[in-house]
This record gives sequence, C-alpha cells and structure tokens, in this order.
Amino acid sequence: MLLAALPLAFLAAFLLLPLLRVLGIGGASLGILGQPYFQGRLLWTFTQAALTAGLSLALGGPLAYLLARYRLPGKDTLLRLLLLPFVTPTLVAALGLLSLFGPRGLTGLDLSETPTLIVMGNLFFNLPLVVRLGYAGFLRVPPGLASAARTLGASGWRAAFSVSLPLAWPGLAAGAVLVFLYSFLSFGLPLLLGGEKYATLEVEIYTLTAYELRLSEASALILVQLSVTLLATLLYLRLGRNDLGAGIAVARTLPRPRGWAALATYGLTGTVLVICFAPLLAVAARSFSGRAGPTLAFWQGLRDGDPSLGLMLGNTLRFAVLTLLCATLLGGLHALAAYLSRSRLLDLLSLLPLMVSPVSLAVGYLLLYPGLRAELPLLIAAYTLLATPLIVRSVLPALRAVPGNVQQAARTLGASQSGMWRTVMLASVLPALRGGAALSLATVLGEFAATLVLTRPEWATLSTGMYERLGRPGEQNLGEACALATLLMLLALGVFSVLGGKGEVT
Amino acid sequence: MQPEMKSDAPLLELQSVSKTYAATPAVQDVSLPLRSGEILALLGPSGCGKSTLLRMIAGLERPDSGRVYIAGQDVTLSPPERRNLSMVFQDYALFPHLNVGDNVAYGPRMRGVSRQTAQANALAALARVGLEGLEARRIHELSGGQQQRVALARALAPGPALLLLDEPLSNLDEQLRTSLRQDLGRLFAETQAGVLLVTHDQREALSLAGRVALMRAGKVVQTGETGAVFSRPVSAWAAAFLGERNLFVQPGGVLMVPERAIALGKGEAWTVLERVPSEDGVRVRLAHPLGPLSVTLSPREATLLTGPGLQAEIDMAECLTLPDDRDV
Repeated sequence: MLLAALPLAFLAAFLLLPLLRVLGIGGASLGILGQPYFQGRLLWTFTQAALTAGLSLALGGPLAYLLARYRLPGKDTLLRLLLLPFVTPTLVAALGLLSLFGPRGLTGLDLSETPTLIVMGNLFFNLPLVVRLGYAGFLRVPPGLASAARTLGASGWRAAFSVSLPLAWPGLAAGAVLVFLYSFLSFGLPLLLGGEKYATLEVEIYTLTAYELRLSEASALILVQLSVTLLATLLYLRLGRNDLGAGIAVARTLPRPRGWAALATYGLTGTVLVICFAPLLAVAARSFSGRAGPTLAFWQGLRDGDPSLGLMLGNTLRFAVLTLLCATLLGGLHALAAYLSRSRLLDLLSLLPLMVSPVSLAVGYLLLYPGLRAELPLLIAAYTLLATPLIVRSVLPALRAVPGNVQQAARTLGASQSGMWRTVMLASVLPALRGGAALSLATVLGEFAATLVLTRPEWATLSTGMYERLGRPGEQNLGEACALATLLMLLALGVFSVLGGKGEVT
Repeated sequence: MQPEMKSDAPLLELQSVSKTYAATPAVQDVSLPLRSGEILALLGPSGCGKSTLLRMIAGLERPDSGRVYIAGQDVTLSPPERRNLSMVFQDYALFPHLNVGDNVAYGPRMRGVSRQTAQANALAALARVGLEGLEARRIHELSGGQQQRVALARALAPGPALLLLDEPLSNLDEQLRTSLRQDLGRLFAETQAGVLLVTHDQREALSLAGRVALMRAGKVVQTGETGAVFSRPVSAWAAAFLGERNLFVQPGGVLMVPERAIALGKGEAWTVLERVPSEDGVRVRLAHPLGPLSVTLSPREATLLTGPGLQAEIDMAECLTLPDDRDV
C-alpha cells in the first residue's frame, strides 16, 4: 500500500529504531527487577493506575448512566465542559492541585507528596473520559429494553443492573482500560506532585536515563512498561470488538430525576465538576493572589522575565502549528491506507505511539541521531509521533462510519470517484478531523516528558518556563508559574473551541 | 364470545386518563373497562395516542390526570413491575445479551421464581409459540418472525393477568403477518388473560378483537363489539378509517353506503368508470348519481360485467347518515 509508506517510514525512524537503540545499548539488565526498590516502583505504578481506573469507573459509570437516563438542565454544556480536561496540559493540572492542596494551598490542606494527590490528578484527566464513553455506551442501549424489563417485573435497579449495565459494559470496561493505560504511563503528575516516593515507572525511566545515564536499568523498566501497555491495548481492542452494538442512540424525551436518582445525579455531577474544574480555577486565582493579598506582581514579573514571554508564547504556537501540519498529513494518510486496505495490522500500528514511553523515545532520538541533537525537527518529530495516533483514531472511525450505500448513491447520482471522495467522504470526515486536530494541538501544549529530554534554552515554551519556575524557590516563582499556567489554560480553551461540537475522544 | 369471569371489578379500568406532551394533548380523558378473557383492540391512525395510552397502562408513563385500576386496585402511581402485566413491544425489545431461553425466563426470574422453574416456564412458553429447541440461540441469529415469537413467549411466560401488545405485527412482511395473526388468535383464545392490542391495522382488529375502541387525536371516539363498530361507525371519519369507501356528502351529513346495501344484477345499469383487479376479485367504480360508487365483485359476480354498464340497486334502509367530522 503506497499511501502507508510515508507514515510507516516515520514510525520506523522515530519509534521503532530509537526504541531498539535504547534497548540495544542498555542491554536490558532484567536483574534489577529482582530489587525491592524497582519492585516497589512497579507495584506503585500499577496500584495508582488500577486505583484510578477503579475510581473513575465507580464515580463515572453511575453518572454516565444517570445522564443517559434522565433529563438535566445544562446536560449538553456539562458534557462539553468535560472535554476541557483532555486539552489541559499536565502541568496546569498539577499546579492547580498544588494550589489547592499544596504547601500553603487554598484549602489549607497539605496533601503534597501523598498518593491521594496523584490519584486526584489522574482523576482530573480520566474521569471525564469514563463519563463520556459510558454516556455514549448507555445511550446506545435501546430505551425499550429497560421498559421491557420493567413490564417483566424488574424494579428500576434490577433493570439497570440486569439489562442496561451488561449492554453498556464493553464501553465502560474499555474506558477503564484506557484510563489504566494513560495512568500507567503518567509522567508529569507524579513528577511534580509525588516526589521521589511516588515516582512512576516513567518518572523512574526519566531519572535513570536523563540524570544518571543508567541505560541498562532503564531498558529493563521500558520493557516491563511496554509489555503492560501492550497487554492493556490488546484488552482495549478486544473489548471494543465485544461491543454488542446494541443500537444507535435515539433522541427521546427523558424524565427528570426524582428522589434518590436526583440526589445521586446532582451529587455525582457536583463531585465530577469539583474534581475537574476546581484545580483550573485555583490556578487562575493563585496567579493574582500573593501572601499579602491580590497582586499583579506575578504577571509583571512574567512580562519582564527571561526568557521573554513573547519567545515562550511564540515557540509554543509555532511548535503547535508545525506539529498539527505534520500529524494531519501522516495521520490522514495512515487512516486512509488502513481504511482502503481494511488492514487490522495498520489499524493496530497506529496505536503504537500511545503505548510507548515518550521519555525513552526522546532518549533514543538523542542516541540515534546525534547530528540532529540541536535541531528543531527532532522535537517536532517527537510531538508529531505522539499526535498522529489521535488524528488516526478520529479519522478512521469516521471513514468507516460512512455507509457503503451512501457512497454508491453518490456515484449513481453522477459523482465521479474523486467527486464522491470530495463531496461525501471528506465532508463526513471533517468534523472528526477537527476533533483530532484539537487533540493534536493539546498534545503539544501538554507534552512534557519528551520535551524535558529534548528541549534547548532557545526553544523555551510556556510549559518549560513553568517547570523551570517551579524548580526555583520563592513565592514570586510559584506565582509566575501560576500565571504561565493560566496562559496555557487560555490557549487550551482556544483549542477547546477548535474541538467543535462533539469531539469523540478515545 | 368468551364466557366472562365472575368478578366485581373489571381486570383493567381507566378513568378519565389524560396525558399532555409539551402542550400537545396525547391522550384526553379516556375511560375504558377491560374484563378478564376479553380481547380489546385500541384502533387508530399513527400518532393518535394509543401507544401512549398503552404505556400508561403498563406504568411506563404517568398520566397527568385520571386513574388506572388493575383488578380493582389503583395502580396509577405504581411502577410497571407491580402491575402483574406483560407487554409485547413494537420492536420486540429483546435483550441482545441474553439467549432466547434466558430472555423468556427473565420475567419469571424477576417475579422471584427459582432458576429451574423459570427455565421450565420458558421452555413451555417457547413451545406454545412453536419455537421448541431454539432456547440456546442468540437473538441476532433469529429471523424477524422468530424474534416476534420470542417476544410473545417472553410476555406469556410469567402468566400475566393482563397482556398488552403494541403493534405486534407491524414490523413483519405481509405474508408473515397473516400467518402470525392466526397464531395470535389461537394464543389469545387459549389464555385466561385480558388482552389489549394496539394497532392501526383494521384487519388485525377485525380478526383478533372481541371489542374495539377507536381512537382519534387522543380521544376514544367509539367503543363496542367489533362487528358493531365496523358496521355502524359513529361518524364519517370513523367510517373512512375503518375502510368504508362509499361515503357521499349530502345536505345534513355524509351518506354511508356499505357493501351489503348494494344488490347487483338488479335495477338500473350504471356506467363502469374503472376496473381494478384486487385480491378478492375485481373492484369497479360506477357512475352513480350519488357519486362514484365502489363495488367489489367476487369472481362469480365478475361475470355480470358484460356490457358497458353494471346493474346495481342500493337499499337505503341499510345505509347510514353520519356527521361529517373528517376535517376536524
């Protein structure tokens, strides 16, 4: 397949070879897996990911059901708002949590360097995912089925558990697996919130490679990480296939919740809103308030700082746009090739970058392409690699969703092959492409792991500027970091508007 | 006619039930009784509110006003599972995650029957609808007609006192519909339950129901024994909906000329305007002074069609003058 040549070559050059290089040089000393320290790291990484998946399911599952079942004022707005965490940079979330629960946090409760804070951070990103996937899943359960269960003698609860839940389960479970996968690979949150005690594998890999150059030990961890994420991905794909596809969502009038249902609906909605939006509000508030009360000092400090705000903002935007162009091209070609060839392998390959640790890739780039060490394309390639799967995952389902008879109808109505592609296929795919593009942009805003390894002073972005300030002591630095985070958040809001009506994010 | 069961209260009684959706009344002030063993068809065009009424009886919707009694008990606010009824849904609403046997056993299970007994009930119900041996099949492996039968078996398995059917045959093709209609008739005759059948198909009502309630725009406009309703509609709209073709506007109302009032081979010969072969013979239209008169000729009667005209005489005593409410 000629179309797939470019994306595959890119995957080989910027995923496979760097990874092999790291593993080859390191020679993976699997012996370290016997050491209690690394076992502890692995156990913790696993535990926090599993805990996050479990909690997301426990909170998000019922809320998804209730939202699908009842009429709620502002439901559409709520669901749309829940997309915001997807495009929020990790650092912003981390800083938000620190503003709330850090030393001298707004709540007065210091949870820094506790597992609670890390899991809360994970929930910030992942709870909306489960709510949205679960909502879509419950919505596709035909309403008549629950009614049928009721007329056959099942109470509302039993109907939910014996009919709606089993039918929505594949979607919910796939959501939980995805949450596990994301949390297992999480880097920015544990790096900032956890301290050494709660470092995840990815943080450990970063420490081992970037600071201590213990590549063989890092390689062993990378291998472990890879096998776990590979298993999780396979599970995710399998669950997707088991979906009974009970039906398509039907528009209908829903009843208002009453009694316990109302209590649960509003209670869960409130909880989710607090988890997902309190950190964002806290960051913005913190950027305007010092110990002595309201102040503009942080914003002024930022304006006069070095590197200049203009440089950081400019770099962030430049990298974002460059990445978007590359990722759209590669992702579009990849999706097209997978669609036309109906190849499951190509489909699967597009997921690969999501499974691999960005830190280890970035280290691989440095080892494999020493000549490009100081060249921007290397950083853009890393961003592109991480953004491309999001484009493919958005575009491919949209292509597949175009019914065959619609294509044939276009042809019988006089559209040429290319005309059909332009008027039917492209038009059907554009909204999805928009969603994918927004996620790609968000990746650049939020990517942090590869950035830390590859970045150079003159490539300072809003993220690196923030991280740098967090590493320095003093209220002024923290305040300026919050101001930067607020800027990033505004950019994310901009991206959010690119996302359009309903970007399906999986 | 089935013998009526001795009981003071009817099995189902609706008292002035009303329901409004977004300022449009869906059901207005409907009162109806239904006795055990009785088969009542709620007949009306689509959108007349008959399905809404059925869903209120099932407890899937709450009336805005009025009361619903089942076996003498006020169940207006009771949830569906406390009403001892079963419902066959228009799109069957079979559970895709359960096999055929488990679908049918679901009702008995939810009523607290042991797993074994529920399975036995399910097998018996499947046998009644002629689906022996299919209990291990998945739902999506079944044809439309088979799915219809599973839905029926599932509704029968708990042994409900009241059986509700929402357009049970509307998703099937014509041939299947005819054969399933016969099966439904047999099952209804066997069951002790009261049956409420919602349909927009006059033939379904005519062949299955002992009584008919004719609905229009949320109101019941006529109730009675099936034969009486079909032969003596209360208005021109009812006559037209029930399939009457010969309606002629006259001063003071609409004259309805039923087929039985037309004697062929007698009287004056009228010019044949049109002949259309139909399933039960030939349909012709005659240039009658009242207006174009439709007559269906059996194959034997078709031999009368020799010349350019056809002799026909109308017995005015068999005709009805009805109020014209067709545009209301």
